[in-house]
Amino acid sequence: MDNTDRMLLMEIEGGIPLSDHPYREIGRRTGIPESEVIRRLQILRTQGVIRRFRARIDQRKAGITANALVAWDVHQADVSSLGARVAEFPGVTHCYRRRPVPGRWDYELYTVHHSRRREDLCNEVAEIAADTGIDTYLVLFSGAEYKRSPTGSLRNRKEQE
Amino acid sequence: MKQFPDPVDLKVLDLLQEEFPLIPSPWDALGGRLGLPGSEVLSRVRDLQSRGIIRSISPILETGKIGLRYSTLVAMQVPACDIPRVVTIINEYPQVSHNYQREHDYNVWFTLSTRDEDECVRLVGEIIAKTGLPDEKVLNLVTLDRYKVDVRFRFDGDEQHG
Repeated sequence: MDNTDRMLLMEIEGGIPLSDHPYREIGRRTGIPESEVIRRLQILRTQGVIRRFRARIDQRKAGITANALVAWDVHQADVSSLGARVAEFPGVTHCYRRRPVPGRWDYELYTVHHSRRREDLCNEVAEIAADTGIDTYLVLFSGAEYKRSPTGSLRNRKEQE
Repeated sequence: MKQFPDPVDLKVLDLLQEEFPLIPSPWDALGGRLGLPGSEVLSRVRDLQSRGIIRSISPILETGKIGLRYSTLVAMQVPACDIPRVVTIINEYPQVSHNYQREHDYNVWFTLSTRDEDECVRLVGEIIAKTGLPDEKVLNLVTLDRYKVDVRFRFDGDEQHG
């Protein structure tokens, strides 16, 4: 990734312009020809710097109002195989292993779920519990959203440097 | 006035959560898959974005490849009346990407990504100090492994919709 790539990503990380030819428009803003904009983005995607290129949705505004983080206490079982198994469930959007805080917080596996109704979400979680045998877990429904921005923001990193 | 979002909007939302085409006329390509003119796809996307359902169409960067290799989830027990102050402190950090209220004694949960462990320890320590919360009201849940990150919402064919 060179400086031109970085400039390009910073230009579009907040979203591509909703114009007839978005890459031409990005080219106009950055002084890079449209074909070069496309070529560079394709390479970044191939290299995996761009993990995905897609719409970011505000699911709450689209009616998906039951959103929860679920913390699972796996009792020192084989966490990575359980994690891989839990991640397979289609309703799981994130699955992480996190370092517990011994004696205060033993939950080590975390999943994120989204649904239109709390009841559906709870059923999905209960199904995972039944399937994996993890019977100690906590469903943490989210309330207010205080902040949500792309995790790997180059613009933000620039500010840090 | 048409129902919003209508069934075609839902198809557009599903399709836009797959890979956005890297070609000169992406809207035409998407239209081709939906049986619509590209201009109609674009106008629906503009409408969905103006209503806030689409936040943006943008690349998700692989954090490890841009130097953010360390991350954590921090949970705090904050008295309800003190939440606005604490949230303001947390959100000032550009390294904080998500911050939510959750229904639990630990009621404020935020994620933080940094270059390395040292930076993470320093920033979490700094945030806790600024909030004035005692350590026992805070959980620092460092990320050890990532098994899945695939945020995608299915809209079409969801009979519960509406």
